[in-house]
Amino acid sequence: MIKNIFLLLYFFIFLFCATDIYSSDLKVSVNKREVEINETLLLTVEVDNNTDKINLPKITDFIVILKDTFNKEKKKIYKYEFIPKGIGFFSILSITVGNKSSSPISIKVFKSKNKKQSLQSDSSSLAEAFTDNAVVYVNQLVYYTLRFKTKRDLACEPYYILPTFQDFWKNKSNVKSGYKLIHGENYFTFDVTASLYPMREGILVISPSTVSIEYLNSNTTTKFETKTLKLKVLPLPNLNKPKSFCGAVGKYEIYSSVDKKVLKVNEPLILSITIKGNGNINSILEPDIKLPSEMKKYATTININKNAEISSKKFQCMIIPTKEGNYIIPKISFSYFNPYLKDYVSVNTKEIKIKVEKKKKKNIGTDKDNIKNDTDNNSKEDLINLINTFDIKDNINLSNGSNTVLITDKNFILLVISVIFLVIVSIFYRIRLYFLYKDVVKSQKMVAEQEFFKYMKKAKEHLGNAKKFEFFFYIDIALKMLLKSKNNYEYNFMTKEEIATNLKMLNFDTKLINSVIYILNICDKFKFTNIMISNNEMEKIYAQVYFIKELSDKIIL
Amino acid sequence: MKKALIFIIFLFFTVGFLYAKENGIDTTANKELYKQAIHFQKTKDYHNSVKNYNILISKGVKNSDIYYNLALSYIGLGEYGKSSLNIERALKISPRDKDIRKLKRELSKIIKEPKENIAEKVISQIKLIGSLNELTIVVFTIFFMICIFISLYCLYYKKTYIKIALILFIFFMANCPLMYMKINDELLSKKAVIITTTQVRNRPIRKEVPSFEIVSGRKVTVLAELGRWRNIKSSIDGFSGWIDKSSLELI
Repeated sequence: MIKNIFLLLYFFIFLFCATDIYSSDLKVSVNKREVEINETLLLTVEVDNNTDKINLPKITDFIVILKDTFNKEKKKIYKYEFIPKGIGFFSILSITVGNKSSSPISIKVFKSKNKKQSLQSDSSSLAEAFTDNAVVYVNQLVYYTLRFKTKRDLACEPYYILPTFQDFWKNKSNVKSGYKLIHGENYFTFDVTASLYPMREGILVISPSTVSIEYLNSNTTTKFETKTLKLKVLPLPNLNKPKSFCGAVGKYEIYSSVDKKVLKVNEPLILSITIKGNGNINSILEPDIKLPSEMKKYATTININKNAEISSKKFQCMIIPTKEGNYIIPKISFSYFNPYLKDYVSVNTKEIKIKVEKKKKKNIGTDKDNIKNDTDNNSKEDLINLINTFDIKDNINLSNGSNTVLITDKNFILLVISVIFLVIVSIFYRIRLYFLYKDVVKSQKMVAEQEFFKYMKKAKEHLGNAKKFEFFFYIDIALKMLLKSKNNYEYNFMTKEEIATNLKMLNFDTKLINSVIYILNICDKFKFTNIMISNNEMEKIYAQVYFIKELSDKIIL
Repeated sequence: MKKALIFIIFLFFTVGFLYAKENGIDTTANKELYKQAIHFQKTKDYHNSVKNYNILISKGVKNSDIYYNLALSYIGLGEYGKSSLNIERALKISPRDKDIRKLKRELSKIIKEPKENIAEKVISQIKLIGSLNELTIVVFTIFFMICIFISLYCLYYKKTYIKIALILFIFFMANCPLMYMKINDELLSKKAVIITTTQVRNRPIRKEVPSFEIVSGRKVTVLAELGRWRNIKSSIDGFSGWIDKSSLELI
């Protein structure tokens, strides 16, 4: 029993500790507690997003090589990369955030088993980086080469990391590898060449590149690191700078061509301008084309063909001549800065002569780019001919002129809704009848009641007539129909005694039965005899039948 | 109840016939204007004939023949865009009119309307069977008949009525696709005609380089509106882009 209580207690303490740890706003961790000398150690500090600042303790035994901060899932994460300075046991002291602090972390640094160090060269291998020029102009092409050579055999291809080349526009790098005889010895060489274009003036620093290799029959990986390079970048001179200069530096050529020299009005003409050179081809903009006013220029498409040495950019635009005649596409000028001449150079294309002919009539053809209006070119004669082929309609009925759309007309919609309503009402009527005829007795009773009113109406019509027979005949039938509407019995075929007995069974009052029998007797009497009866008395009998209906309605059967 | 329903049925018929009677706008002033317009057109004074026809239209006399004459006058002035617009309006009212159809064909040749393929030709010919109003009258008369026969069936419970209603329903269903095409063409989608030859851009920005030019008289569908820009799609070849709203007019 006590054992169980203790276990429960332990469980609660454990739960409390766990929740306390997870509720903490500060988390400090290292990727490993034991590191080799020269090996990097990663320290991660996770704090809440609201925390402004963390106090990192003074670290004397490590060199901080990287600091990084980023946000992740409402947390602010600080990452530090350290390299231990020496061998032994070291500790990272507690980190304080607000009023919370972490516990110190102890790290063991031991001597490296595999001697991993960045070298520039050893007895058999060499890694070097260089540029073809130390002093260049802004946007001038510079070749950066990372070269590695070794006398020994390698287990695999060298793995290299180039610097980020900040402040440079970099093209795709080329890799060349092979064997070369240097000073009578056979070397394996590995060259990585990148084309760079400095984007700003000043002294630009290119950080070191690294090459990692593994010699054959050796398990160790050797890392070589090149020296940091410095490049002096000069600004472009302002003197003699042409207006059309768009920043191109290097050596360029420009050509222009057209797909046809003889064409028709409104026929598209493709003008291609190619700029070829060894500079940064991406920075070149479309040259200004001054066309005659009779020619319209449309959207330009650009194609870039990049090569290691010389790249080219092709501008293709569509030109549509609107009038016939002989035209000249003028020289197209392109300016660039030649770093070898240290001056600006302008190159021009040749003039292109174009003959635009009058377009043939009825040349049907459609294309997204050549949809053109040639209606202006239709002669007046054609127009007159066209109009003359059609007769003017001079016999118009002006009253026949309503242009309202019927389907959107309110009255029409109302009419449609009414018709639909009519159908719905009819359907409901049919449904009602269906349910009514389902109960036969009830329906027959209803029919009998309707018949009662019908015969009473007919009796009223004969009220003042000399022929008494019809009146009493209808009164007799109406009364029998009234009784039928109460219990669905056929009283037409019953004697008065039978009717009286039947009504008694239906809890009819004796007075009411007597008055029914009385009226039936009178009807029999006047139906078959010629005894005179006054109109007043007939009216009384008529009213008495209605009185019987009222009383009989009150009786619950 | 039965009598009341029969009375309602007859009432609908009466209202329907009365409604079908169109209101006339036949005044002396309009007749005078129309006579003048014809005279101007015959004497090739197209400016004045166009003016008079436009006054008549603005007064509410929207007749296919007036639109046809106006289209001819615009051809005389060399304005193919407006001519095409009016011929489209005329065709909307009287799609079976031979003269209007012939003029449209001639105009299509002038403005170089792309040729339709066989399927498109068949569909356009089916659409020209009747105007939307004519088709509405036909379809809804059938619909009314169906409703009335259903009502009669409900009242008298005779199978003959429901059989007639079913036959009418088949006719109604056969006409529905055509009706849908007509409604889609004339009410749901905004059709317009290019009035002046204009440049079409890929984006509704003045600085945007025009991608192609659309000639006056071309029939287009207006897909979207943005300020003074309209996104249009060419009805036959399907090219689309943005143009200034002043370049087109809705049919």
